[in-house]
Amino acid sequence: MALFQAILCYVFGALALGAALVMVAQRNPTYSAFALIVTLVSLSAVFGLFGAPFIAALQIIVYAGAIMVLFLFVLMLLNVRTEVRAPGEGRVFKLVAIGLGALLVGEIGSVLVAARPALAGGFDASARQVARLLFDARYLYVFEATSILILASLVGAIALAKRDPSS
Amino acid sequence: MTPASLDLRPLFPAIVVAVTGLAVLLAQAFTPKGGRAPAAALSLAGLAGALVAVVVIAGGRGRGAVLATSVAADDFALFFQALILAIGIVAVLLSTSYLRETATDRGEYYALVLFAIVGMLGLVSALELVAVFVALEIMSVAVYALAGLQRDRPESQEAALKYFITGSFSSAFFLYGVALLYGLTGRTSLALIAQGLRAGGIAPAAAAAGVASAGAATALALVATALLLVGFGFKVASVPFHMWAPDAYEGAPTTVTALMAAGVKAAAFGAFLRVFLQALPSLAAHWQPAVAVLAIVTMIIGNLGALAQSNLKRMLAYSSVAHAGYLMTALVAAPGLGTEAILFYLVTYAAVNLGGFGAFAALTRSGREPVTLSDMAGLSERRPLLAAALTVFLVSLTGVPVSGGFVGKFYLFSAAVRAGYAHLAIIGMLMSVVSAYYYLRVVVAMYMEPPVGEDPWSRVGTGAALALTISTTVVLVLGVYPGPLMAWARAAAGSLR
Repeated sequence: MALFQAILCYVFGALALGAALVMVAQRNPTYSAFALIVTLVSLSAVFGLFGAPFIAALQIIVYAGAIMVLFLFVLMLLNVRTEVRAPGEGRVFKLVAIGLGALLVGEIGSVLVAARPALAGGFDASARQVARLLFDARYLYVFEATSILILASLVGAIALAKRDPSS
Repeated sequence: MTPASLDLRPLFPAIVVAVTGLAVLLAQAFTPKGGRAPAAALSLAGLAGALVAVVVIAGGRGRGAVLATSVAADDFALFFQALILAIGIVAVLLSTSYLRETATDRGEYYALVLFAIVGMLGLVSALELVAVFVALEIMSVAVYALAGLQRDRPESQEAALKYFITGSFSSAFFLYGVALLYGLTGRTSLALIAQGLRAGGIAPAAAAAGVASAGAATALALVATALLLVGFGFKVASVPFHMWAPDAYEGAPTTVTALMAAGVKAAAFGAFLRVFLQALPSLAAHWQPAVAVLAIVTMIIGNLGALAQSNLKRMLAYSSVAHAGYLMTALVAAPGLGTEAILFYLVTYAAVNLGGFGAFAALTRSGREPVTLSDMAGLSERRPLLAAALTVFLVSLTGVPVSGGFVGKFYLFSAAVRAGYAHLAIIGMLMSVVSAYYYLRVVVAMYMEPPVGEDPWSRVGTGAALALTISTTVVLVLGVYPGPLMAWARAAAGSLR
């Protein structure tokens, strides 16, 4: 069973990486967006295999669902077919990007070497546990206050975007 | 903990304001087409009700109540909540005539003001970093939208966009700092973080993440402190995180600018004080010099920037930057005297800014606002009372005796001197002298120059007149009789220890 899980984990991991590469390499933004969906779904599968079903579900609902729909909506609304390159995006930009990328790879490598990449034991990331914490007295206030935050954003967005009845 | 043991009293003022916000939205929705819901009256009632709630809590057994280690109704929170609600009431009083004259009279305006105030109330009472962050975001999101409410003015849109982008950026800094502190100590509660940092700051979680040595833990804690400092620096508009302030203050509707200068600054300083004094006291030796440097550059650049402005709103924006610097000189001296001085100064500063921006708002007619010195020429003949009030505010901003601003600055600088930061006080006083030039220039224009052309300004409405009277009274009373407020400020500062 553990072997089967490990195999699945590598398969989905490879899928996520491959799709991410496709996303970056692809010139058509719509295809890039679809490749990103594959990455996100594969990541969700990896989370599920690691025993975090709640994060797996969130990954699908929030990222693969809501956010991707938003991306595709904008792409189709603007009718972008090919990548538009901003002027001035030249060699310096690429060098900086490569430098930062190398830094990130080095950082990940050093962490993998220095710290034992052991999974924390007895870690419960089930939906039940998350719900317990969310409705725990300590976080209850924050959880409720977030609703005001969302309402304020909603009212603000509508106030800024609504067509003026007078004009 | 069972739900029955939840003590909701600390939340009560915020709940009243939030419910009023909902009522304003619903009232607009149920008003027949073309009609206007009494949004301003509802908002005033809600804010006054919340103020009564704060007073009742302060006088009763609710004083010092804590909701589940995350929200407190201690003296510090109650002091700030009373201040913020008073600011809200004055801002709403100023708004009615201004919104009518600039054709921005929409139901959402008052709802957003109320939500911003809910955020501010939460910000000063939160004992826990996640709650601080959520409150900070509620306040910020509402104010971003308010800044852009005059959609036909490109400046207003620019203000909203700049404020939104830099503000979100600063929130990310703040959040990163919170995450690092959580990673180190495994806690988000301010008191428990302080405990953890004092004990060497290595939680089991941090040890598992590879932070093995105490030195590494201290380094991480310092990075977190720096990130929090950047986050708060943006919100209080201290140099070098002030770039957004002049554009946002100038472009936002003037009554919103008044709310930003008075309310957002007070709430941000409240959270700034609480987080740094309650969670990071063991690192004070590290962050105090940094705050001192920020205070110096903020005072200098704020005042020099204000000298160069011809637009009055921009001038007051730079002056607001400079005043963040004055306040930070006392933050270096906190806790104790410094904290009291900051609390006292925030009250006078709020009154002065509401009055100053309020005077501009009160004069606005048919979308035209007084923004230049020549607009102020001869105002003493056309609006003698308003000119007198504006003079009081400008004199108080300069820090001339018999104004609240003088007493406030005296406390700020004497706190800095007693804490051994005399150089900060000297720079502050020198810069106050510089500031006299640009503040008093306006007074000279109002009194010494003859009025030009026809009177283009609006009559001062009842609400605005009331608001300006309140502000003037506060400034003058605090200038001659600061004792009672100082005693409250002392009690409030005491609850941070």
